[in-house]
Amino acid sequence: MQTFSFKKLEQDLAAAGAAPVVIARITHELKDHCADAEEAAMARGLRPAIARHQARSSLGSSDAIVSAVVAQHSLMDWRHRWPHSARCVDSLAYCVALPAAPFLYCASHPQWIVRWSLSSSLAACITASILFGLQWLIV
Amino acid sequence: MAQTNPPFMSGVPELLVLRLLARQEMYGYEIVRAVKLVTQEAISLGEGVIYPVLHGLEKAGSLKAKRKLVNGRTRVYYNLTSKGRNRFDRLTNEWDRISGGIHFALGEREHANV
Repeated sequence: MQTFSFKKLEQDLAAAGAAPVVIARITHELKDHCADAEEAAMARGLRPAIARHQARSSLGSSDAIVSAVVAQHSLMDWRHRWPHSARCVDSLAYCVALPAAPFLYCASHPQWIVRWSLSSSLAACITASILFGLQWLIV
Repeated sequence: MAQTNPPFMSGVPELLVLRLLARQEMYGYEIVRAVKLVTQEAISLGEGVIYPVLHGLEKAGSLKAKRKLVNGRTRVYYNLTSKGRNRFDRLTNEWDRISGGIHFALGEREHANV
């Protein structure tokens, strides 16, 4: 029986289209799992080489792990594969959505438009009069 | 030698993981041991298969992962969230419904054989 190879798993996952971050995390946790299994096998009295072989065999085949990753659609989406691009798209979407949000809100609540216009005008008048007053005092 | 699982077993690892994590937080190796223990080794998972399931559940918001340093090694512990608890309840109800139906159908077959 062929021994489980982490290198082959990484290559198979990359070939299946898994994102590097997904590959790194799965490999890291599988290595930890293997270390635990090896430790337990040695505690049962097995020789280190046999314990290591047994621990790696217990992980199952590389193909089964790749199939399990591919079956998790959330791990295969483009946001995982290109996280920087996803952040750029999110930022752009927010840039568009944020200024549009008050207008969209007002469109669905027309009575608020009057109230907001009045309060904004009042705020502008008060600020302007304070600034004029300060300028008059200074000059 | 452990028997392989039939194809209709898809979804079972997820249910078992949620069941175990509903009791307490666990890390991957612990979960695999516990699955063997609670199913009396009736279900044999390739141990590596559990991690994609855990990561998928975490991405879906059903689990929360937390790194802890134990004996000089970083372990990723998984916790069930409230969303995960709802998912577990839903899956358990579905499982009861389906297994009840299958059980009934198999009982019918036994009656037919008698």
